[in-house]
Amino acid sequence: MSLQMKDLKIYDPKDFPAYLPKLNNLYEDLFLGGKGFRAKLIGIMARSLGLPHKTEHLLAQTIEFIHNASLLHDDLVDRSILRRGKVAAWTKYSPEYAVLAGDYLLARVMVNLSQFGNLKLVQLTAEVISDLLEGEWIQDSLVGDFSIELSQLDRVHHLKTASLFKWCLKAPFITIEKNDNSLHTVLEEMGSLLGLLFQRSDDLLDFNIRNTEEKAILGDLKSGYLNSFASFSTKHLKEKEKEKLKLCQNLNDFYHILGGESFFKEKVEEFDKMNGFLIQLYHHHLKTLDGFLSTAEEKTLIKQLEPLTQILYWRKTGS
Amino acid sequence: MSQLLTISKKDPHFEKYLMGSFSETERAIPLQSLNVNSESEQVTFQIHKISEIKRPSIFLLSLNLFKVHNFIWVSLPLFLVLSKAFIENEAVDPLLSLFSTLGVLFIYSALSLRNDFQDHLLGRDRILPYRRGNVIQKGWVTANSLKKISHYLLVIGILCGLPAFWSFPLSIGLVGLSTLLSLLFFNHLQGRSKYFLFIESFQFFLFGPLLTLGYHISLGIDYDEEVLFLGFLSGFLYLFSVHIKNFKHILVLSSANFKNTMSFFGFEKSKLILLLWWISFCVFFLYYHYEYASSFITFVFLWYILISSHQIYLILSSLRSPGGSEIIRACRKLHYISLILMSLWIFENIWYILFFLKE
Repeated sequence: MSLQMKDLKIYDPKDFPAYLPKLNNLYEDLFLGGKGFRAKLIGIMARSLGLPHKTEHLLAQTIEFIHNASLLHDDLVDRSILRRGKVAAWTKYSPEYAVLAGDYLLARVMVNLSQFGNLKLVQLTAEVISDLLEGEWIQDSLVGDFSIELSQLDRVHHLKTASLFKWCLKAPFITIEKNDNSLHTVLEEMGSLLGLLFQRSDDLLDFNIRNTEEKAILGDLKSGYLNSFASFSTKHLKEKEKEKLKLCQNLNDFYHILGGESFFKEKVEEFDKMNGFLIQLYHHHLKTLDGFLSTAEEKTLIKQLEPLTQILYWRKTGS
Repeated sequence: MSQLLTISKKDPHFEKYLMGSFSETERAIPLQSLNVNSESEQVTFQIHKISEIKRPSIFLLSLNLFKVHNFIWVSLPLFLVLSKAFIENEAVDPLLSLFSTLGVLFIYSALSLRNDFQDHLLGRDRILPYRRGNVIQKGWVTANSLKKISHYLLVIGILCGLPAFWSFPLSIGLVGLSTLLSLLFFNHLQGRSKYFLFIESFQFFLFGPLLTLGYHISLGIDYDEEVLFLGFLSGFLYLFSVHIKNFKHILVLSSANFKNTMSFFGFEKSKLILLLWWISFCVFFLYYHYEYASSFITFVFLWYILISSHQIYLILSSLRSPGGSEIIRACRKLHYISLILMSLWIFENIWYILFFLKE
């Protein structure tokens, strides 16, 4: 992936009115800590599809704006104190500023896309924002639910995480007017799978599995939220036992409730195996995607998209 | 080792894979699809060799195929009609009643399998969690086989009904024709969610008045208003269970654009509808008992209804989300409340029978 966040200038103070107090400081804090993975995915797509640099920049900026707007709102809804190792915006500035800053990012997205003039792109983006909000609404109602099933969590993740990945795959094709329904159905399936794998891998970090980023352990559980791995691994527990999960302070507490560390490791293996099938499904759809690509340059996209599951799920570092 | 295959709904081979008739040695199991019930639907199938699929015992297969636990919705009205006939000392030919009972059970089994087949064609079994474990999804039976079995059961059911038709051609003919037309309409409208009100109305008639009246007449007994009332109550209660099931999956069904009363009204209003539905049913139920049963029994039911209605109100009013485990627990409680009422109703009739026998 050639583009870096700083190259894309995803956030540029010139895009936002300097006369609005603290707004640019808020965005500085927010954007500079990000990995910009979604923007990098846009970069992969743009290179293979031969998008002009301006279009690539617009798409990368759009997705990062939407993603970061959702983070601003998420942190306030979840009452998370930290974001990317720094104090969350709603705590440092104010809840009102965090909400307005998120709204402003979404408004900028609409302004930029409407200036670009591709109606289908505007439609897709509006749907993604709507899905994100729906997912957030439902997720908020699930806090404290320690009996939630994996299939129910997947629905929320499809609306939240997966919808952004779907956008990253579909939007570049829309900008080059490749709007074939069958192509976009395949892209949607691939985006859903990538989003789901990414979310499940992120949920494993909470239990210190492949935690190279040194994410805080049991952050989700302590916030009263049962993530996908927690839901999967505690399926066999009775309701009363699940209630004890609320008191978990460290991994040893979790092992104890689950039935021991070796049982925990078995569950990790089972979870990985289950997601291994999703990876197989993703590669199957990748082969189908190949059939829709016409030029040699476009076909390089397949090779670029192949390692994504390794990066997103197994957390292996990509180029 | 299984392979994966993705086919568009528009592909000419799509139906062969969905029906399971594409190969003699392999089975295509549809995986969960996110774009179900849409024009652009594409289904990814997992292709297994039939020899690799672990088939269960005939007993287990039959239990899963016929969903024996659902037979309560047919058995209850039949039992109520039969026990009424017995208590009122109606002259009923035992052989005729046996054939009529078997006929109804076979026809309703056929309906149940046909429903599973329709769900498979429409994709409901690919999105609803409780459907994903069904016999087609497990690879035990193909959709094609399911369709054939439902046809055979329907024919057997009709054959079992022939003695009743022979004895009472006009009345059974009328009931049979009404049932057939209802089934045809129901089948025709199944895939068209916007006619959900009609579909649910047909379900009310098929599990309610049509069932009780038809069965009553097939026993050789004249038309009875009480039986019509019984049918009304059983149909009403059956629809309550349908609404509970649809409410439990309101999020999934709404997202996939499958319309029904619950998804039409949305989460908040559906809670009110469920409560009002239960209360309405209870009012009719109490009135039925006031008219046709003893005061003591009516009084007992009144207490149960007051307590259960309050319980239902508390369960529904505290429900916050259509997406979590709360809604599953809530629907399970609602289901148990209606099951307890049905059990009390059955027990009431057994009590009458024993009382009659003692006399």
